[in-house]
Formats: sequence, structure tokens, C-alpha cells
Amino acid sequence: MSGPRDTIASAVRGAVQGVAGKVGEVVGRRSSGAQQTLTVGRPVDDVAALWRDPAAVRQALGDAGTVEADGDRWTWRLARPGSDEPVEWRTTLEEGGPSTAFPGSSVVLRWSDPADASEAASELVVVLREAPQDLGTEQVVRLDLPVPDLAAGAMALTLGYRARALLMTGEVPTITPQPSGRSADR
Amino acid sequence: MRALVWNGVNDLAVETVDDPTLINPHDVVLRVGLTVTCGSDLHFIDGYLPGMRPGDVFGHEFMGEVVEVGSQVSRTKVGDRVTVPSFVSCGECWYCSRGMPSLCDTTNPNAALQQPVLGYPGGGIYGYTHPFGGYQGSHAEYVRVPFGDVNCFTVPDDVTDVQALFASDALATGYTGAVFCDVQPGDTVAVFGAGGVGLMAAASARALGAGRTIVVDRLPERLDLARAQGSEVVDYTAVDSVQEALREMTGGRGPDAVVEAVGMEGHGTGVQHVVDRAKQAVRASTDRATPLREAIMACRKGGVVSVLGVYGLTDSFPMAMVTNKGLTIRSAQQFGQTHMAAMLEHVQAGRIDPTPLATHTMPLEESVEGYRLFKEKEDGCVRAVFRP
Ligand SMILES: NC(=O)c1ccc[n+]([C@@H]2O[C@H](COP(=O)([O-])OP(=O)(O)OC[C@H]3O[C@@H](n4cnc5c(N)ncnc54)[C@H](O)[C@@H]3O)[C@@H](O)[C@H]2O)c1
Ligand SMILES: [Zn+2]
Ligand SMILES: [Zn+2]
Repeated sequence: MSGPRDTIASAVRGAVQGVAGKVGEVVGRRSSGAQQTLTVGRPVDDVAALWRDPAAVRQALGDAGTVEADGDRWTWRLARPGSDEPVEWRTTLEEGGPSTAFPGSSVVLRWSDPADASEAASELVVVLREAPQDLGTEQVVRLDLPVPDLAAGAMALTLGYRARALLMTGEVPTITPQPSGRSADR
Repeated sequence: MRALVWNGVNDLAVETVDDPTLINPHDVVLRVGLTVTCGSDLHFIDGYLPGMRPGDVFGHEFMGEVVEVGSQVSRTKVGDRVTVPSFVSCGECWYCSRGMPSLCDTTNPNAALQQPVLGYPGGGIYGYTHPFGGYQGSHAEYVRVPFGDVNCFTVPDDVTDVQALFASDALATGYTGAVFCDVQPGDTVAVFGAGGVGLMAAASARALGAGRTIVVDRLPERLDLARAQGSEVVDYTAVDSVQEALREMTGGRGPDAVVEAVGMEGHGTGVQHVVDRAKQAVRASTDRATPLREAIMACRKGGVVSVLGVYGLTDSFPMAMVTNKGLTIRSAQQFGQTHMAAMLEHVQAGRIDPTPLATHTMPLEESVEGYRLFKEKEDGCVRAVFRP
């Protein structure tokens, strides 16, 4: 017999795994990757500009890591769950227009390591196209990062969500450094 | 500063914690004037709702004075006396700009925890479980309010602190639920639950044109409050059948709309209740949903059932009744920002008065006892108000 905590926790786990699995099917890649699609109420050009701006991407990353860019060479230091040592990931940003993999897309941004040509190479892909009904931009974040034990579905959502918040409101919602669980002496 | 923290199931304490500061440019910091218990807190205090962490400062219904404003805050000024709806709205996203602030698309720092359960995560709330954002709560001397210009509402001079306090949540929720009833002049609206939320739903339904409101509960002091505010009442322990009592009061037709303002801790009578209690006791089910089923049963055909009570993953839902009776079910976490101007006007005009909900007022240092009184419904406690 499991308690409601367990029930909900396992529902959450199941759903996270479900999301990751679906992405595997949809994208036809390894199931460790994840994809999350959100509508952003801003034009495609504005959303694309945010993703091309390392400072903005750094803000969207938040506690998940940091990134520095030198031209189209982006170096990421990604937080690794359960470890103080970040994972360094050197990538090149490639930009494409409408692609066959994503019919109708207006902008495709892809960060990956050009030295790693393997089938299983890590990547971060952001696909932007006009959302239906003039609602702005349909933003697809797909990632498969070189971070062990990463909850990839949650990470894809968090990145996309924070990017949207930044575009809509000029800030990223945060409780850092002030979480509701307090550490002050009592 | 001093604050009330959750340290575990049924384990609360007043402790010293860090003061909040401005983090984002649209933030303000309030000195909390009044902050109050809400039935929603009981769900995690009792351990039915997961997602709290030891040391969490909770509380989400409050008013106070602005003491600090961020660089991008323009309308809100230091010194303003304000009330703040419980959910954090950004004012910019699709939902916020269409009157659904609690569904905000940008204010939940822990959206990824909520998405797997909801499909699409909702907005953040102060002092609640972490899937709802993990923001520090209001049972404290100070609280940080994101998007100050969107979420702080200046309190008119002729509205008291206590009235402003309840406009933050109990009234905001009751009013939202009454709006959902799509009240036509002369309608009869029944309300299950005479807590702060139910009493405010009944008062709001009348302010919106209902001819009659009927409040169902078992606690005499709460039924007295309902009566004093102009409702008829049913004590569900004093009648053989709440359903028949409501039929009899409505010429055999049933109420045009029913508000459910009880939630997952709801009591009930009859066989189903015994089964539900047993399942909940062994944690085979997170809720009994008895009042929800009763509300759906009680509503006339073609009517509206407005669900304000909070449930978990209820494991049996009487869908056949909804379909065969042609019911409309509406539910939401409150839309306080949308209704604030109208609510304050009703309060100013004397059509709605939340003051009697404040049955107990005490210093924050006594808030652990305040929650005990509120939870046990002792000493006629409807809401325990804390003065930090
Ligand atoms: N949707 C929202 O935005 C929102 C906001 C605030 C509170 N809530 C929810 O509203 C509900 C009520 O909150 P509250 O602060 O008034 O709580 P409360 O605990 O003070 O009141 C609940 C009342 O329901 C009564 N009750 C129990 N079983 C009943 C039954 N079978 N039939 C009729 N009445 C019954 C109790 O006697 C009590 O008076 C809670 O579930 C809370 O989580 C929702
Ligand atoms: Zn509440
Ligand atoms: Zn919003």
C-alpha cells in the first residue's frame, strides 16, 4: 500500500519518463533526449534574438549552469545533479532555416560539438515557427545533454519556460537566493 | 525576522529566518500587516498534499505596507497599504491578460515539477508546496511580492485592514466561485462548506444578484454567521438527507448553481463516506470527495457546479451525473486580480463584509496555537488572523 506522497511522486516520475519516451518516438532518436513545446506570445524574430544572445541564455539556464560565447563557439558548464563538478560542453551554434525535420519552421538553432560525429552526439536544438492563430511563436526545445542523471524533460521545460518568461516580462521567476525553505539560524 | 515554518506533517514552529530582499526588478517587499490561516494549508499540514520542505515559511493570504520597491516598479510606492491576491500574476502572458491570473504562464519557478501532473503548469503562489513555486509565504514579518505593480492593490481608506486581508484569498476565492455560477437575477445558489471561502461565496452570489443562498455545514457557529449574512442554512448532521432538504427548499427543482467550498478533508455521512474514510485512512486514496459528489447530486439539471474546494488525484468521479444532468462544472484557483476592483466596491458599499471571518486575532508568535484552533474548529474559530 503506498501513500499519496508515493502515488503522486510515482505519477510525476512516470510522467517525466513518459515525456522522455515520447520524444524518443517522435524525434526518432535516443530516448534519453527530451522535447518541450511552448507558445511564446512574441514574434519569431524576438524569440530567435533571445536564443542568439549568450547573456539571455545564461539567464534562462539559471541554476542549471552557465555559458560563454566567442562568436558561434559556445562553451557550457552544466550543473550535474548530485555533484559540485560542472560538466563542460564545447559547442558550435549552427543556424538553419526551414528544415525537413521540422516542416514549416522558420528558425532552427542547434548547438553541438563538431568534434563528436557519433550518432549519439549531445545537442541542444531550438526550433521556432509562427504559432497558430497569431499567438506568437511556437518554441520547441529539444535537448540531449552530456549530463549524467539529468531529468532531461524537466530541463527542456525549464529552459523553454524561463526563456518565455524573460521575453514576456523581462525577468526569470526565481526563489534563489531566497527559497521558502530557509537556512537561517533559528 | 520571525516566521511560521512547516517542519513536517503536523509540525509547525515560529522561528527566526532571513529577511526577504528584492531579487527581480519588478519585486516589492511588504511589511506584513495581517496574515491568516486558510483551509488550503490544512492539506499539507495534514500530509495529504506532498511537496513541502522542512523550514518552509507558509501562508498566502495577507495585506501589508510596501517597504521596498524594485527598479522596474512604477505604480506601487513605499508606504502604500495594499492587499495581494495569493497567486502571483505577471500581467503580461496570455492567461494574465485574459483575466486568469492564477493560470499565469511565467511566475512558477518550479513549473517543471507541476507539468507532469497538469500537462501545463499553473502560476506560482506564496508559501505553498514547491510544485506551486516555492515562494516564501506570508506568515512572517516581511514578504517579497513579485510583479508589485500587478499584484499589489491599494486599499481604499474606508476599507479596513481585516477586510483587505480577506480580499486577498477567502473573498477572492468565494467571489471567483460566485462569478462561475453565472448568477441570473433571483437564482438560488447552494454552498457546501461555511468556512471563510464558502461564506464569502454565498455573500458574493447575493451581491451578484442571487435571490437566495443556502449554506450547508455542520458547525453551528459557522451556520450562524451564514444566517447573519442573509443565507438560509442546512445542518447536514440534523437532516436525514441533504439532497432532500435542498429539494424541499427549492420546490423540488434544486438549486440553480452549487458551490463546493469544502475540499479533500470534507466530512460526510452514509455508506460511501465510510468506504472513503477507510480508503483515505490507509492512504489508498488521497481524497474522499464526498462533498464534491454531494454538490453534483444537489444541483438542478442544467445547472452549474462551481468547485472551489481543493482535491488531489480524486480516484472516483461521478461523471455519469454530470453528463446525464447536463451540468457545467467550473473550477479554478481564485482570480483575485481580475475581480479586485469589483470586490472592493462591494465591500465599500456594504454588500459584502468579510469582517466576521476574523474570529481570532493574535500575534504571529502564537500562530502554532492559531492553526490548532483553526484545524480543530475549536472555540468557534473560522479563521485565525496573525499580526506579525
Ligand atoms: N480555489 C481556490 O482558489 C481556493 C482558495 C482558498 C481555499 N480553497 C479551498 O477551499 C476549501 C475551503 O477553504 P476554507 O478556508 O473555507 O476551509 P475550512 O476548513 O475553514 O472550511 C471547510 C468547511 O467545510 C465544512 N464541511 C466539511 N464537510 C462538509 C460536507 N460534507 N458538507 C458541507 N460542509 C462540510 C467544514 O465543517 C468547514 O466548515 C478548501 O478546500 C481550500 O483548500 C480554494
Ligand atoms: Zn487560500
Ligand atoms: Zn502571467
